[in-house]
Amino acid sequence: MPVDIGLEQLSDNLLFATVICYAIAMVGYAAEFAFGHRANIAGRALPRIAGGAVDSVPATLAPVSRSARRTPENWATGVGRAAVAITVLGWVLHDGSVVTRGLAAHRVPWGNMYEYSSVICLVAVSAYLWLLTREPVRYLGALVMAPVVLGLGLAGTVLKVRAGPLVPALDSYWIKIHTTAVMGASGIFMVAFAASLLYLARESAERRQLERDGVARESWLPSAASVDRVAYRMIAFGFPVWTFGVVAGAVWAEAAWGRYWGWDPKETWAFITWVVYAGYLHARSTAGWKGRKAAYIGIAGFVSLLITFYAVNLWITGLHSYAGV
Amino acid sequence: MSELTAKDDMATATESLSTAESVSGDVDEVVVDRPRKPGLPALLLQGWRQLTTMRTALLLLFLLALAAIPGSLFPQRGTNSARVNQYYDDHAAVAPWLDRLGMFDVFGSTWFYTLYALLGVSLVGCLVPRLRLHARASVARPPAPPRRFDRLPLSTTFRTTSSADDVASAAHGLLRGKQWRSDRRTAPDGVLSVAAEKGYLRETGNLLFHVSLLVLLAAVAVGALLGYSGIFSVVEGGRPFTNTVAAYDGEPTFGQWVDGSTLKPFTLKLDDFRAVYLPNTQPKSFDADVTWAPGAGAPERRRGIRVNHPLAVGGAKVYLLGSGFAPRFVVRDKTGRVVSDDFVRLLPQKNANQYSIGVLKVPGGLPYDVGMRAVFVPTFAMGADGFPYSSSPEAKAPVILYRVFTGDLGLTRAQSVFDFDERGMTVAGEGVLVPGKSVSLPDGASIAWEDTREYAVFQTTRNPGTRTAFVACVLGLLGLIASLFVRRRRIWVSATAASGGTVVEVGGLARHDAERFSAEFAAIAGELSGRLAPPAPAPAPAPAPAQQPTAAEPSAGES
Repeated sequence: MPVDIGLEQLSDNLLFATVICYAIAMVGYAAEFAFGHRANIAGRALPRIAGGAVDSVPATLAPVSRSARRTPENWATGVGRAAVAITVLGWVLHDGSVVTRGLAAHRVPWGNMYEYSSVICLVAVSAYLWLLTREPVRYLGALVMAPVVLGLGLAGTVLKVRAGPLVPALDSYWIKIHTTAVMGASGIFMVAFAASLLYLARESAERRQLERDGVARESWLPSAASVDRVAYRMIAFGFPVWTFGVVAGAVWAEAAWGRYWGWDPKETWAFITWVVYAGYLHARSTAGWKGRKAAYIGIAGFVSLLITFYAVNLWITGLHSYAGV
Repeated sequence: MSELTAKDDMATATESLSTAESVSGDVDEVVVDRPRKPGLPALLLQGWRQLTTMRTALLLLFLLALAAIPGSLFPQRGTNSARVNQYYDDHAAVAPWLDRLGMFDVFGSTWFYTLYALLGVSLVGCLVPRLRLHARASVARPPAPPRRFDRLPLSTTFRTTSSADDVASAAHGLLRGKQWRSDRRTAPDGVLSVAAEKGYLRETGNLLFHVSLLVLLAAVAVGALLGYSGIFSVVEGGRPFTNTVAAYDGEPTFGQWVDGSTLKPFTLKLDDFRAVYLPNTQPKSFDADVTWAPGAGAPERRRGIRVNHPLAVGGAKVYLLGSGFAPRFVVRDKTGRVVSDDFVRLLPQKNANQYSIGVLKVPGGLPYDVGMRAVFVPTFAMGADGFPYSSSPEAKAPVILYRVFTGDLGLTRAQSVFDFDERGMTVAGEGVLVPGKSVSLPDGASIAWEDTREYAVFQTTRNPGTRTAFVACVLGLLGLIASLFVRRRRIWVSATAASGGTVVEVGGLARHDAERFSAEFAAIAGELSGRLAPPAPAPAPAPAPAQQPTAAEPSAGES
């Protein structure tokens, strides 16, 4: 069946509108991030919970209800809320773009790097919005939107290709299994990456504050520990998905090339990424590796993921180079 | 680990902390205190302990990741030996040094295997004691309650007019009903208590994952030792392939424990090959129709082999790898006698629309050897740069550009089928050939291009251990999911008789997802107090309601 040019055009336009929405939302989140805490700079002191020193916590600490901790609002809070609304709008447009691309080409909308980038970003935004329905994580907005806008911008310019059918090597039902899992995990890891970055920033801010004032003050920004928990949850969720994706890839490789593992550059980097994230999960529960070190490992995992996805396709030739640009 | 808690007299704050450590399970390396022995054994023991710590395992894991990087940056012999040779040509100075370091065979190099083996040993060292501990914990009673519940991350106290015995029975029944492993105890001082634990599956999953990983490593090793793989090609309607070492293009690669005698007998003929391309020259589909038989004399079967659809032959699989064009050249001497008549496979160049190169070698039948270099252009077009190219991968306007040599091919030296050695040869002519036309040699001999067919390239692969590896992956994945999402937690209930009823204390401990546990804890404590008789209207201030358990900041725990 020929490519539906009208739908392809519609998909391109929707993606353009999506990027604009995300960019505006990013600015909104950044504004809230920068100015949101001015209103409560003289916040109350946080109960101190240093790592390991559990017995320093009053054993009968009253449960902290969410309403009691709600921080005062200022104009920036409104901007942050508007940014969420714009993100949701962008997300709807983004969904439309991916679906119309698939309809235009009469196949799954992830057959080349351009489409693949778009879907990964869609997963990342979905994961962020899903998280937002469960926890107040708006503070992550700017850090999630930045790589998403960058990724979509790169996709729309450097990686852009016309819609067409799949190359024979990809024309298998495994593209629905292997590629979906890998893209899903990548999007989730992107959110974890944002959380790890914020953790590093919050952790040093809290440490500085502790050194200066002897007490960490409450701010509208989350505590380092809670950002760390978000990063951990995302990685703990993404890791089995990534593992499944790699295993499914091995099964596909066995069917297509006669060996389930051949140390092709793509496989090698998928393995490296897996090892680094496995290292993160272990580090987070090993004395002496928690906190900053674990966060650095999480960030290294995402860098390795980027290499797996971009660098291997663009600069290293291997069996996966059929996916082209 | 739980022995500590069993000693009631030691139930102190530090003790409840150690309970917190031990319940986490997957956290710290298990340190089993053994008496120290002097001398070499002690040193070995020390080394063994060092190797099996989590920190060493982590370090090895990262070293393995680092070690894999050069394998993706340098060409590897296993996947692309031609590019290794190319690298040697391009970087003559550094290539031998890189080779010495194993950079062209990273995944088969000693140092990679060393890391791999160390990690395996470290894993075994971590696993054995933990398997033992988990097996013991799986049949043991849940650990006894700590002396002071208020030291636990979650605790609550209330009064009831029910007897202590009823409280213990109610708590025991309630927790059992919720699938907790529950245990009733009576302390020496007569205090009744219930200890319950849930989420053993976390450690079970964790161990299953790591054991599966070891099985996977073993399966990969078996595949490397007992497997083989080789590439062969067959021309449409041409000579059938028989599965022998000599019939392969180049020597097949065999694992260290197998050789040519392990090849399963089979024959394969290519009846038809169809490559379909889109107007923009992107390939759409490749289909090879073959007739094959499992051994000489066995009944023949017909089948299609496509990309992603291999043919299974007695433990081995035959995959379609690629295709190319094979022109038929008929060589005649000056009297017109046919000297040679064969299809010559040409090698398609990358991203060039099947623009292919190859050679025809005629080593006998004429007074001299003939060698002809041929460039096959399926759809001839002239580029703006003055060089011919192919504008389509289909043979719409095929042309052969040739340069023919005569002299001595020197076939005593090992040579590629796609090349020959020009040193003993002289150029006897060059030009352009269209189908049906001939090249004339100076003495009147001729080379006629009579026909063009396609050939298909197949790969035979046998990789034992694949099924084991797959099962290990599936089990490992299940174990991984359990180890990440099952929460291990403990609840203790103690009932102390007091004037006018019983004082009930409930305590809880969880290292993972403390927030979720505090909700669960509150629900269980609430349900328990609901099942008991309400407290007598006492002059004392009302006890803390069970629905509001005291809670440490959830972030203190592991999520």
